[in-house]
Amino acid sequence: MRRPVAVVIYAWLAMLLPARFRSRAGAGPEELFAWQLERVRGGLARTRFIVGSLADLAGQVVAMRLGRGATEAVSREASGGDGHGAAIAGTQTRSAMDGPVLGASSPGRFVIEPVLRDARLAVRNLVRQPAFTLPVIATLGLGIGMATAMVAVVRGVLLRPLPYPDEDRVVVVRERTESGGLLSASYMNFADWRESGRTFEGLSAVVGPRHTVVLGGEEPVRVPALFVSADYFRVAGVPPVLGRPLSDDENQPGGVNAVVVSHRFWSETLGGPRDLAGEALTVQDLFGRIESYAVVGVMPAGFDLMGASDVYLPLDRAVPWNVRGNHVAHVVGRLVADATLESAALDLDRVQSGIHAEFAGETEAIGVGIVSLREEVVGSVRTPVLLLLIGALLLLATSFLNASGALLARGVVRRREFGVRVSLGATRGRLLTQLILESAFYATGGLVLGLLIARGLLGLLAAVAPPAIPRLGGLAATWPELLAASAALVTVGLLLFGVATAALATRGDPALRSRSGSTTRGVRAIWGSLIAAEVALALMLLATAGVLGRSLRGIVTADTGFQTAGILSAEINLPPRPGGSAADFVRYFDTVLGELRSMPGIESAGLSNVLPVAGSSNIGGPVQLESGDTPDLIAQYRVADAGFFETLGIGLVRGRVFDQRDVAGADHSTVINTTMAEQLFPGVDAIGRRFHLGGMDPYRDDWLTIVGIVEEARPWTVAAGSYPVYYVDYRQRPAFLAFTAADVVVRTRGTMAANDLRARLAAIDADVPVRISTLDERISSRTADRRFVLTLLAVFALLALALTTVGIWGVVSFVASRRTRDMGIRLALGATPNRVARGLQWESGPPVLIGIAVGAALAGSLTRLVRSHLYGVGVVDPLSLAAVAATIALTAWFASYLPARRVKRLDPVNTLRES
Amino acid sequence: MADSRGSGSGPLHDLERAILMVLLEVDAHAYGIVAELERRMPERRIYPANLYRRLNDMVDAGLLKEQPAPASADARQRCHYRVTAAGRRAARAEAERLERVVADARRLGLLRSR
Repeated sequence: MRRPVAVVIYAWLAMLLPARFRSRAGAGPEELFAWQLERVRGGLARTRFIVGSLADLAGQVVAMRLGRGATEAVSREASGGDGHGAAIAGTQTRSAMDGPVLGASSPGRFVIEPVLRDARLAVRNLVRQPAFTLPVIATLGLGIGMATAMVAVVRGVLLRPLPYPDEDRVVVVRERTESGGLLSASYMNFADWRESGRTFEGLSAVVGPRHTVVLGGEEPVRVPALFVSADYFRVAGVPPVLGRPLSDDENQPGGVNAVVVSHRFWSETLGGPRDLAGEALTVQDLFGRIESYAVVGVMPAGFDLMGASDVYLPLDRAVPWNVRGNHVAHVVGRLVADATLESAALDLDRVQSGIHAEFAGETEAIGVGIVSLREEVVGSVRTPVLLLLIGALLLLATSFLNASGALLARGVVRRREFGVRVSLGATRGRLLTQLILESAFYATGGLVLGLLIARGLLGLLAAVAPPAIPRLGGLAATWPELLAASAALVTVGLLLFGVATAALATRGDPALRSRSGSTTRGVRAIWGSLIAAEVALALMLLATAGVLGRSLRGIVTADTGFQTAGILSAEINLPPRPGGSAADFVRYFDTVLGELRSMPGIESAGLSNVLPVAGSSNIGGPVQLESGDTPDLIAQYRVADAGFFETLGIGLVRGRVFDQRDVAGADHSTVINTTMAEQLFPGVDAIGRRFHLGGMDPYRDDWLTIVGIVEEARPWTVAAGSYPVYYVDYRQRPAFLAFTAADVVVRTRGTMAANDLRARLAAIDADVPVRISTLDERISSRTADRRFVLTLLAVFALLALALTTVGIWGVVSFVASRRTRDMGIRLALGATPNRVARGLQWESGPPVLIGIAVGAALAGSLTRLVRSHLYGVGVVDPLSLAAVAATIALTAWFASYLPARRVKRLDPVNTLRES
Repeated sequence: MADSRGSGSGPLHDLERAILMVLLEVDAHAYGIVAELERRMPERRIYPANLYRRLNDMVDAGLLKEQPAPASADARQRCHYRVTAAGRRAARAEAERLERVVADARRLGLLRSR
């Protein structure tokens, strides 16, 4: 049974009751609360009951916790006083102050009654002063909300187990080369691992997801398909919600055609039939064969082990990859119960080194690399997410500091009130209790507001998060966890700041100062520290955001070796046609490119299967030279045409690009990039030399002759390094166009809109799915995760700056208001208003400067966390640091200028008369 | 110590008084007390932590006695409360005090005399 949230909260808070009370009452209070809650009818009444009960409980907690200490303080006071009237102060006066006391039978009784009254009094006071109360609660809520949301993100993204039974046993396996590089596995190596590995319950190869057109639903759809080997569903450990997984018989050569589909596909495309009998899909397999498959199972919604996919096709049915150099397969496995990552790695290293010894010329892998699936999923986002958590905690600290400053001011204002109460016999314990109760009130308000903010923020994050940051969805629904996180943060904050401030505000003998309205040196020193700390925190946040921003700018403006401005790309997925051949693809793209080049708005048009924006493709393999050498190099295999280089502005270094000589039937030509030329033929001219590719290349019997060398074109993801690429002409080697989507790129004259391009492509063949975007959009989607982190951190930093500004403003105005008499005297004695105002304004000068210095010194330690994510900028970036420091100094100056300016309008005579 | 309570030294808290009045009629567990208080004083809200604390204090003061309920009873009803002799005295003292208040009120014309 699910307990209502209110009961969870109540139970949690009830844990704070003293042990001796709990040992008697047991779970009584929370059970009684739950029971009573069920009996209350009506939303308003329920809310009032919940709020009332929580306030009552909080009051009881404070009362019981403080009861003993305060009573001791009373007796100390009674016995240790100066003798005069000590007994009276200890007993009778207390009765007068605290109202009727029934007797001294229980130690807490002295205090509990008055504490409850204090609590009511405190709440009433605070509610009556919304101008003070609301900003404090808003400040706390902001800090608590952001920090809670980030705690939930860390928990949800980094710590939450993946939704597979014994998920810590699910691992991802790759090939490891001698240089330590990790590669996707070749199917043949994988097959040997599966055969000889001893530490796996199941090991499965996965190819894809690949977009493929599926017929057989209500209409033809293009969906991601995953080709999986036999153990896939066993490794996941998740059964289908309907039907069964692919059987081992189906997943072997000659097996019956069967397919498992996703829950989404089942409900949307198949219409959600309860009975799968008779459901069949027509799908193109990895090798272009189009056949009908019986639907045998439906996976649960959200199932995405090794990538989300709509159809799961058997991989082991037909495996023409009889070489070990084609790195097409992602391998996922489930360890046996007593295996560890280390023992599994040893196990497969043994297998792979045997393979390497036997087939040295065919595989470059000398061992394996194994990581847990969780690491695979979240490893790359750990640092950014932790950075965000730290950012939010710094913001939280800023908000607590800010609230402390405000509470301290309030404490100063109320010295007089406290003084009166002390002279009537109230103890410091009583005053402390009241201040702490007030803090608890603020904290509760901040908690409620913070929870709402956290929930909203989590919902927002789930909606806008880039796909690179996984598992952000659904976090807003984890109420009890959010609450626990918030409450923990509040408790820590309350202890750190609320109690400390309360203690400071009541320190010394308030009675002596009850007439002094001015602020003491001690209080001002505390304020100075608060301001300095706030400034330092804000500066650290701003500086880190600044460095990340500069890094992002460096990435976006980095020289990638190709142009993006004014270039449109059309991602084209030619649907398979029964009986079609590769020549159909060539014909289609010949038509497309010819038509586009004749359009008035287009300067040039070209084609490639992989654009440099996309990072590396996993098509590639060892290259074999005419000499018989197989250099240790994994080059990227790209299909393109001459227009591709022209359109993207990729410079030709030597030789030529493709031309009319490079047609089907002629010797196959290739254009390589400078890195490949240097690595393959160091110090010699590469033009005219020949090589061919092993592995999966269907053209592996055709030698490629190098006809040209072009500049690097690299996406920013590998901006730090370069990698070898060779291009072949699509007319000579069209097979890859059938395999992956192709991108047609056009350079426009600025008048051409995406819609014109779409219309022209539709006129050629309306049935071809096309996705059009600008090259800039394609690149910016690659930086989406960085922009996401930067935006959030910038928000934290700006909020911290805003809080700091408000904090400085508040302190300076407060000091100004307490010292009007002072200033009146100075004005009356002939000081100019400007001078007085300036003196007041400088009140915040030293703390701000100290804060800037401390923040600048610490900023590097925060930025260092993200060092590996920086590009083109150091951990300490003097430029952004200087800009940030100047911003803070200016803001601080402005924040203290406004209240100080008011001094100029003071009329000295009135001031003196009033006070 | 406990006797100082029952000796009529001072007024009772209104919730304690109400609890005593309920328990003088019938032994009850906390749930029964709440249900009865809600029936008698619908305008008054009973908060759980406060109720338990009052009950504990009254037991400490010797006004009430905790009594284990029959083993078969619902777990939440395992603890019954019963008024002690001291509790009865405190209730009487309270009633007498209130009687004086009422008498004063009548004399001053705040209440109509019957």
